[in-house]
Amino acid sequence: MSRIIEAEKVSYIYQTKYQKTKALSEVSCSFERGKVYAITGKSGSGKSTFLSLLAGLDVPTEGTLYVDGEDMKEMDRDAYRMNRASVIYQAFHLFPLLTVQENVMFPMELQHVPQKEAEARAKEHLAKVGLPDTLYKKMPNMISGGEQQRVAIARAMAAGGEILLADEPTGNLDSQNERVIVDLLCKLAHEENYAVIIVTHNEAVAAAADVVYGMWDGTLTVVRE
Amino acid sequence: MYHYITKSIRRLKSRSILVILVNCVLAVLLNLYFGLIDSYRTQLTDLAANTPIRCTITNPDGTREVGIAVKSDILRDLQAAQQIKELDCSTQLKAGFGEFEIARWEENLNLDVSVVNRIDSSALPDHIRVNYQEGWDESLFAGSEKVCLLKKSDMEEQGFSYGDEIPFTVYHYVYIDERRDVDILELGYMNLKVVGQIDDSDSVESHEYPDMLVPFQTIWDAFDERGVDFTAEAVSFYVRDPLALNAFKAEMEQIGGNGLLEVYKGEGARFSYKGSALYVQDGIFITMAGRLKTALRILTAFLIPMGILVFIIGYVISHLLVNGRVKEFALFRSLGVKQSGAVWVFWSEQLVLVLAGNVLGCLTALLIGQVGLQDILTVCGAAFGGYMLGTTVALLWLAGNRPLELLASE
Repeated sequence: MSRIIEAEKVSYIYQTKYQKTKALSEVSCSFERGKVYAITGKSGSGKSTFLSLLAGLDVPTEGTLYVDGEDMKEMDRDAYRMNRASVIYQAFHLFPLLTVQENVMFPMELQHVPQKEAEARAKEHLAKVGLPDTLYKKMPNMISGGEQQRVAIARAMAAGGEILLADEPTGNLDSQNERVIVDLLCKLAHEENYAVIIVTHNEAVAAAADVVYGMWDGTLTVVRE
Repeated sequence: MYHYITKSIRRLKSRSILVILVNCVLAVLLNLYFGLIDSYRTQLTDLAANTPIRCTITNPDGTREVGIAVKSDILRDLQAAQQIKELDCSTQLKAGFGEFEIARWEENLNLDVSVVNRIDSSALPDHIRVNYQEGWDESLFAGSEKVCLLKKSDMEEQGFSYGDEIPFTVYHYVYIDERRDVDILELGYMNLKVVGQIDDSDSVESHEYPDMLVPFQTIWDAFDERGVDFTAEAVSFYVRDPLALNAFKAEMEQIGGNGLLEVYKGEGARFSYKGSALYVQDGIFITMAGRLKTALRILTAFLIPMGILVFIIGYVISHLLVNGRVKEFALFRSLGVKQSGAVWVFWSEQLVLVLAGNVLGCLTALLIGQVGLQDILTVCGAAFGGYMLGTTVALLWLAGNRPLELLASE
């Protein structure tokens, strides 16, 4: 197993006009390909902030995040998100104006994959996440929450990256769909060698992970390895 | 991205139609607004063309417009003036056929001579009818040829024909302020060729006609040759551009060295025959132009607020529309689209809709208005620019937010 992300004494301070809030305090950890990681903790403990740093949507106030040994601050973080790391969200966040299939094709369009090839690969990914082809031409608001999350995973796979970041991916799902999504994420890590990092406060999701970290007031501890 | 823009426009039909309609209405309204300004400007120009401002040289107290003495240096400056047109100068002389001695003036000095620089001179009756010898026309009055026009009846009585050179003895008037009187002095003997006649066959009207017409410059030259000071007895003209009254007045201040004193009729001054004052009949024009200028001033005062209004409309509408799509924007960012790229998608989408609205607005304005295509395009261009500026500001506001915060907001 090779190490893909490494956090070294990462701190993050939210600064507004009136106050400063330390959301992360000297977090150090590492993530490997082929493993599922769960970061658990109460709301406001800093889990989502850490995830946004891992996604390159922001940079640490102090400390360093390395991706394959390269300092994230020095990287083109837009290209990193486009090609290497995908994020799935609790609220699914599919493009409401695009069909299921178009949503999955979108990252490939950004990567200038030819239309025909993108269409074929989108169908392939949608099939992998177990979505029937009758849903491909539907708009996101016409399918269920579980199905929407599967589309989001297919979209993440379509980007062709190696890091999958999930922010409470089962938060809006029933237990049956929750199981399906967790299985899918585990399969991506174990069979397709993704580093899957899930932020959750759902114990069942955490139980399925290979490594569990706990976040408490901005500090990270190993719960299970 | 191109596909995303077209799909977004197609699938958000009502929103797209709203933006197109708003821009169409905006373009039409702005065209009406600018059309109104244009119409007032045209009215003002037409007013200047249709309400000429007549000016008359008067004596200092403004009581005399004819029978005054306007010096030749004033006349020379008026001839060279840029701000006036249709200069009308005239003077009156007495003359008699042939050569005769002063003592015999009573039986010989029987011709009333009008000296004019144009046949439509105010010194002549409106209905005067003249005929010219072939090869001559009314332009002779602007020249300095030694020619004249005689009454038809006199020509028949004396047996003159066109082309005859006729000798005259000429006398001129001299105005004397001190005695408040007019003298008549001999100018001398001169030959003038007859090149036209004054048709006095209508006995009712012809009693007002002069016996003889001579070009103004011809007589002026004759005075100069004899070393006699020449004066005109009546001078009037029109302001070339009534909209440039200030330039006109500035020029009048330089006329004749000391300038022409502007008088209002009836205002007191010591009596004099000297033609050294100017009476400008600009009251009607100033009143009418004043109203139009006030209306124009009010309309043009709204020019900047209108620009700001268009900008605000662009900003508010774009802000409201973009506000409903913040998650899409954040999702673009989350999927690795650069901030500028994400802004570009939304901006281009608005650009297409605003352009479509403006084109529709232009066509509507063309159909309903009297404004020219070039003006319409300029106005629509301004509307487009203002609206898109508002859109740009709204999108830059959006771009300033953290993507994860936008995605977390419900």
